[in-house]
Amino acid sequence: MEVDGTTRATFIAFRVAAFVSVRRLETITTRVPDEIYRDIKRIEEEEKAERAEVIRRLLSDAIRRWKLKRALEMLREGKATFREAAKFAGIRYLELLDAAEAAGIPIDYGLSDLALDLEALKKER
Amino acid sequence: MAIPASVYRETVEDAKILRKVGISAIEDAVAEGWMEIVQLTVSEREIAKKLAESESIQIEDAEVLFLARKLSAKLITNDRWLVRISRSLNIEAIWTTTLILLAVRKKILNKDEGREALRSLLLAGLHIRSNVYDRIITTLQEL
Repeated sequence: MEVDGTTRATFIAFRVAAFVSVRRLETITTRVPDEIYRDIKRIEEEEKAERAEVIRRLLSDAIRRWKLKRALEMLREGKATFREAAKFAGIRYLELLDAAEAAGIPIDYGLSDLALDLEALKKER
Repeated sequence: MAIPASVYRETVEDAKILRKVGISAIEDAVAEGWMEIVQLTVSEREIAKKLAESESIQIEDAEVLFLARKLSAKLITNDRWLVRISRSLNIEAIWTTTLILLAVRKKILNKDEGREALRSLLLAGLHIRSNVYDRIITTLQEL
């Protein structure tokens, strides 16, 4: 199928489970470039799995990575607690801490925080 | 020092599940008696749950806030958002680096031990901008 005169797209319909533990499957229909279609077929062969299963696994993996990336962005932007970010990413608190460490996210403790803390320290007996 | 049971679970018990190293420090602290695990009552958990809902935070964060308020204690964290919420609730929050400064100021740690504790934090994965770290070290020296 020609799209925009250059890109070949293949019509793929599959059902996706929102979460592994949820049994209800929704149907998603999308068109993909020929390259992705060929890659999916290759994975089907290598994994010896049905197309729908392959796509579910790939989607699940991509969504997991997207959520982690977004969670780390939330932390970097100072828009969530570590635990909120962990929940968003669907991982444990400690796993999120590891991911933040691996991503080199600073704790965002700045000189102004230090100045505030020093003021508080002065009040300590 | 006190931590809610839920935080103990997510740090020590989850760490065991994840086979992470370094959890013995918390277990040792509890065994030595200077860290206490506090089990909130059902009614306290309800209050924490409402706090979690109103502040859009997780129950463990809310329990930490609740406990700090209940004990009139400082909340120690490296979580900027939690620090912000804590201060908005008039609960004093300090960062772990400040805890070290406080310990040196109170002569619980000497300056070398304070520097070593800061270094351990960095080695454990705490990322602090170099200019801030330098300033903390300078401050520690001047205490």
